[in-house]
Amino acid sequence: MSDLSDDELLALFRKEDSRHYAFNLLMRKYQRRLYTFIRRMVCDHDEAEDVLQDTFIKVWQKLGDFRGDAQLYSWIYRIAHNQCLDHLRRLKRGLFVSHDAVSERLCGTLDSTEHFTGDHIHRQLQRAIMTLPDKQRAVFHMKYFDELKYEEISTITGTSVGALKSSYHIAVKKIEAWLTADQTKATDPTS
Amino acid sequence: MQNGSYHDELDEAPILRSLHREAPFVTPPRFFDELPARVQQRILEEARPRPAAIWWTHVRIPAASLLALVLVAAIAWWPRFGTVETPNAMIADMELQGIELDRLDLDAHDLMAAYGEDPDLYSEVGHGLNSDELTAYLLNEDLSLDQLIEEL
Repeated sequence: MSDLSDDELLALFRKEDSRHYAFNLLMRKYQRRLYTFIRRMVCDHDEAEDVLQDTFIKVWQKLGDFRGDAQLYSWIYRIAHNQCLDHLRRLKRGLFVSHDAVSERLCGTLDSTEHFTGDHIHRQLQRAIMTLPDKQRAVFHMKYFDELKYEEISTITGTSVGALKSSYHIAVKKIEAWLTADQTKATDPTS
Repeated sequence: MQNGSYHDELDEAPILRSLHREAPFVTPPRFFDELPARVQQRILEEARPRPAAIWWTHVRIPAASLLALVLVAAIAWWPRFGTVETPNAMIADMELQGIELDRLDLDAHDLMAAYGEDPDLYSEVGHGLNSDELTAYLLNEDLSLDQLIEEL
């Protein structure tokens, strides 16, 4: 794992002879966090790898234009966020199916311990997250799992803080209701 | 990511609040060790010009010139395409399209006699018109034979 700061990585990247080396370090620095975000968004490992690779290719193409207006991680996160939404849109268009049908297909690997180590409640949490609309799912992930501030999420998604608060509030309610219903069903199968 | 960290929004969501936030996903062995190399490989491949692109670079100017030449030739020859070759062909064409020569107060014989057999007149009739245009004209204008001859 690279111990270099973002500024040091960027300085290395701007030099022609160390560009690939710097980019390698940058990928090693951020790949796990980005992968987790993308995997939560698309659920399936192969899909997540495709989106992550596309994200890094885009970062490579655009990093020369990065002027440091935002933090580097927020800037990369924004690219990953957009790549996820594009990918999900393409999936729906390609399969000519609804959001629910795509989510169901992507959740197919959740029951396999080969792909998922969480217990029942975490599996159900991921299923509940997958029922959210794509943009709301991204907001929920950034707030709940990554604990980003609304201002940071606003920079990443391009959505106002007020709209983000509403979106997160609704997402929490939906997921809690989903998990509560699941627990009730588990304790009282007749209900 | 910290277990049980506090969010105001989770006050009314006890289940969500109680869960730990570690990612429960499994990745293939050495996935994160190998991913940067795979991405770098893709970057190098995308930077390398593809054979099709190289081929296209060499042929695009001759291909564009040829296309322009074909277009110019097509425009130059366009009026000659589909013109009426003989009055007989024109009459047959009209009959095929169900045009009633009677409605025009003339029959095939009249038409032929009036202008079809006259080489000078025929060259006037055929000039710049194809059979469709001519039949449409005859149908729409509903001219008498005299008027028709005058028009032509």
